Amino acid sequence: MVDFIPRVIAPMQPLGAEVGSPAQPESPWRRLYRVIVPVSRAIDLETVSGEVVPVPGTIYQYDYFLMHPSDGAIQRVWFAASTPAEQSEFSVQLVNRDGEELSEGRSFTELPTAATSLFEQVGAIGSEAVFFRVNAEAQVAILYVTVELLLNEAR
Amino acid sequence: MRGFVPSDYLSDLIKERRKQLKLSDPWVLLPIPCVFGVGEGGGDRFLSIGMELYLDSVLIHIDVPLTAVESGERWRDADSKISVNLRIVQPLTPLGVGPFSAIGESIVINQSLPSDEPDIRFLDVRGTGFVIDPLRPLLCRLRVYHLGGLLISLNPKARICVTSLFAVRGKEVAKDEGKRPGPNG
Repeated sequence: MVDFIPRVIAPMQPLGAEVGSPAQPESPWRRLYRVIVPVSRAIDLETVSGEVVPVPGTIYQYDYFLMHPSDGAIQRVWFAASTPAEQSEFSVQLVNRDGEELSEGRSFTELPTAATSLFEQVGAIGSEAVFFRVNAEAQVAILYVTVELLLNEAR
Repeated sequence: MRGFVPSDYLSDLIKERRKQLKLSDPWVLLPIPCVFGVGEGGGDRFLSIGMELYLDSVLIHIDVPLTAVESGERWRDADSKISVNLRIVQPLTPLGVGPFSAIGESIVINQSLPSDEPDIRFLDVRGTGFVIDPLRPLLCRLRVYHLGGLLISLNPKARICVTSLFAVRGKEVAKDEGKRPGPNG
């Protein structure tokens, strides 16, 4: 099980406040840290029909490229829409290049405008490309997607 | 293979900032870049949602004047009636290209930019105490105004390169924990 790392990690004091104080002696050993970094994409829902001119009321499926996670593991995926439009069918899922499922699917009847956690603890998925599969009507709306990527960093 | 280490004004600023951060905890300075190009009068660039991030600083680089036209080695005919404004905002309802929303918009930074000369800026955001609301999208928003109130086009060659630096704190792990977690954690 991956350690849960609190997402709220605000500095206790202004960063860099220790400037001028003696630095700690450096350890001869490299230390290993885990950090969670955001990877964000804005998706224009008008493009969900791809090259096809969208027909109102029709549900289209499109896989939007998110990233190559490289050495990281996906912790959570957040999203929100720019407008609270209704959708007769709206679902999202993480898939790979071959369309194989990397997460469970989530369905909505309305586009949420507040941050919504979609998937948790997806885990390491190698270096293959990760796509954000959207089944939706083409609409004038932006989907804001942020992936929490867990990385190990040596120092 | 050695990493590529650029040496310029902005890189030096980032390097200096990293040194300061390393004095305390294992902070990582995470850059999220965005670029505003030729103009429709500005635009919005999405930075993040969901995560509670700490915005450390913002770097702005204008490589050529936004309104002046090139004439040999000089720039001329800068339009002094142009106002360029960069904000990092958390709108309640993200708007498209248009005027700033006076209501329901939290402003993290608000910076006027010169329209008639190249410029490099380093904005130190730490210490402002601004807390980013993870429930709302964080956007970098550029708007270009004419004093008459009309939106105008930018110099087609002009780019405004913005890098938002977020301080992310790492958690030290034991060496045997350092392996990449599997699909089930």
